[in-house]
Amino acid sequence: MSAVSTRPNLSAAAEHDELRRTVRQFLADMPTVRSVMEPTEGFDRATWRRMAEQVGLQALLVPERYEGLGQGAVEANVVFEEMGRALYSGPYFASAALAVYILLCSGDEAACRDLLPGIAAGTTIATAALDGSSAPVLHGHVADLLLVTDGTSLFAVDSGIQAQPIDTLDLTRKLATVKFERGSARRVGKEGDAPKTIAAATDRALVCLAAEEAGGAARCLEMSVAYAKQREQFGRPIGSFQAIAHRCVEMLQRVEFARAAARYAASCLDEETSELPIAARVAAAYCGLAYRWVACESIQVHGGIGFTWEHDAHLHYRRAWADEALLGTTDQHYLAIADRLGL
Amino acid sequence: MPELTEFLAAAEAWLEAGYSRLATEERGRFRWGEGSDEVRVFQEPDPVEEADALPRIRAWRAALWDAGYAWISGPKEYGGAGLPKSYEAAFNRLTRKFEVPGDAALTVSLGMIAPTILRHADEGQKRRYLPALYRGDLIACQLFSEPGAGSDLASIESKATPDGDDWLITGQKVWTSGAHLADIGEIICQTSPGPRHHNLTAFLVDMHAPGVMVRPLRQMTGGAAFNEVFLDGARVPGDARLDAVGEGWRVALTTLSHERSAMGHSSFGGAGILSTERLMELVRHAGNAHDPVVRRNFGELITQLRVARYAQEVMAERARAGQPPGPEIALNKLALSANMAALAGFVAGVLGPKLIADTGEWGTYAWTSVVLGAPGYRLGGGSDEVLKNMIAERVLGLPRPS
Repeated sequence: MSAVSTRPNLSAAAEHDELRRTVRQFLADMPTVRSVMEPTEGFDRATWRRMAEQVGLQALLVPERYEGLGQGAVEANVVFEEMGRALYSGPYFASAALAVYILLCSGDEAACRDLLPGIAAGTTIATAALDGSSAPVLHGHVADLLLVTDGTSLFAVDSGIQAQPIDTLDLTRKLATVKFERGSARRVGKEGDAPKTIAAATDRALVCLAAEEAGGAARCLEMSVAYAKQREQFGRPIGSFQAIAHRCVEMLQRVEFARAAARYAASCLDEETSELPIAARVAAAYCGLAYRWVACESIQVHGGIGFTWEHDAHLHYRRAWADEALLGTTDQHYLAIADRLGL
Repeated sequence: MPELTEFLAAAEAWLEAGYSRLATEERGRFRWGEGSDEVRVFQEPDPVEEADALPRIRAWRAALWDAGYAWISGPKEYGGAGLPKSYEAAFNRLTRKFEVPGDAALTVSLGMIAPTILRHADEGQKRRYLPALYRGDLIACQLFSEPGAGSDLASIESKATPDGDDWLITGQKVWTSGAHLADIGEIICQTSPGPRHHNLTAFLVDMHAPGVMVRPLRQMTGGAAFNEVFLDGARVPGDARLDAVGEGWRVALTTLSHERSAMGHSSFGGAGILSTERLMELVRHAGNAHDPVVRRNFGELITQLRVARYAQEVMAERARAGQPPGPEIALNKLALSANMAALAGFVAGVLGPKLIADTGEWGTYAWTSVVLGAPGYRLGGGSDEVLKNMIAERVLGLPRPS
């Protein structure tokens, strides 16, 4: 990777607006997240197929030579913001971002050639178990392909996966315990390369996750502002009280800054600027905490209704807390920033 | 129009001929223990040094003017070069490689008052004031706040009364940066009893006129970055009125929007107080680079500072693409005041007892001025609370408090 120290290109292209509209519309047309989160799989297979066939989203980050669309992190930033807003519950992040980045970062041409086309087509659902054998795995129960590590090397497992979904705080992103029984595995990348590959892929996946969090936070803000305009107490809209109005502004601040941080990191990733290792963790730390805070305050703005099962506020709140433990906690990101800056 | 590269090559040659080039390592590079350890967050120069520096600043502006670099993006009819803003930004970056006088003393003049004049003044006033401001012949200050009109700026009580073709101004202004250096002041006065927001008029008052008295205001840091200005029947000619009678509030809003954008953009980066290198050196010299709590807090602070910068860059890019920032620009100011407070807290944790007593050790006790200056950032440029009211109303569309 050639690190060049330049300011990333932050300009907005018309195609990005078009992409955003398309994805938003697609996600608005799918069955509600509530209708699919309760059954075991936790997502709608038909939507997943249509997402691949009609929009090609699973192929977004896969290079064209592996039958993907070859788009960059900036395009992914747009898509993930929308996924976050809609609380999309399918294995999109795990398969189309995390697994794709691991395979690409492994530099294993043969593995990419064999495995990426299926992921891009949406016919293979991939995920990764990077935290040792006992930790729950994102969407492990629906995975056709599992990327695992023994701490030294990476392996791709595509048979004999015994997975059991377990109760999760986040109702819209399932985790499963995974065991292997006489499965076949192939090594991905060179022996001993796993830590390097995982570190690089994690930074990249975190940039996607940050965008998803920014999108979720933006949705919480929208719901809160709409409610503050409409809900009346003491004979006037609650949004006319400074206690509520100022809270909404503080939410806006975090939403705007989270979106900017995720976008900036995405541009750094596409242009491989020297700021990437910092920008990725800054975005991860900021967006994770911002989402959690905004989701939390959103419940308060909504008052009692926000604490009910029926309201979506808790789905974001749950997602936000779970996100912060997915690929490193906020404190771990802070420590990584100190390390990477050479303190 | 010249190509940017051509333009810069000519500019560099011009700078080379008149100013010495800074050695690469002197530029923006922070080195522990060298030079001043001052980390002030407000411009509080020593009055004597400041007075000494003024002729140098004026000479620099005059030289820029003569060479056509004083107002690169300004309209040609008022002495500008009529080039894109990107040329101006590139020129400013270039000047950092040379030993030229800093023009912090002109921030209000050129960052706030000149854009207001460009927007609201009549043709004759533009020709009279704009070249003089950019050439450094005139320095301007902003006379808005009063003892009784802080957050509620529209309740200004200074009065301007007509006297023949002239106006006579009586009242008291406060928190005026640079009034002691200024030649003219943009002043907002009451010109009729009401109605609110329509009873105000803007003038450009001669700060050297009889009846104008400037007194330094010592703030809690111990320094005096601001002034009180007393006006007792100060005479302003009719042609120094800015925009129509009763339009003062709109004029004031123009100046304030430039102030907020200027404040949000002051990043204090480079070798400034928010420089990563300075903060790391501080931690290392305080001997707690291996303390996991300090490392975590450092990562947290850097996250806040970088995100504020990223957000500014994203907004600046939108502005370049023709979407000038609206009221959301004030989010940058909210971030800045929060970051100042966070910086003070971080430094206090790193330095411990070294922060509270001056042992003479370089780069330690000096940080007290950040601790003492931080509360002012929440107040300046519109208090955080007033800005939140504005953002709630104008960005989020929430109903006004009744």
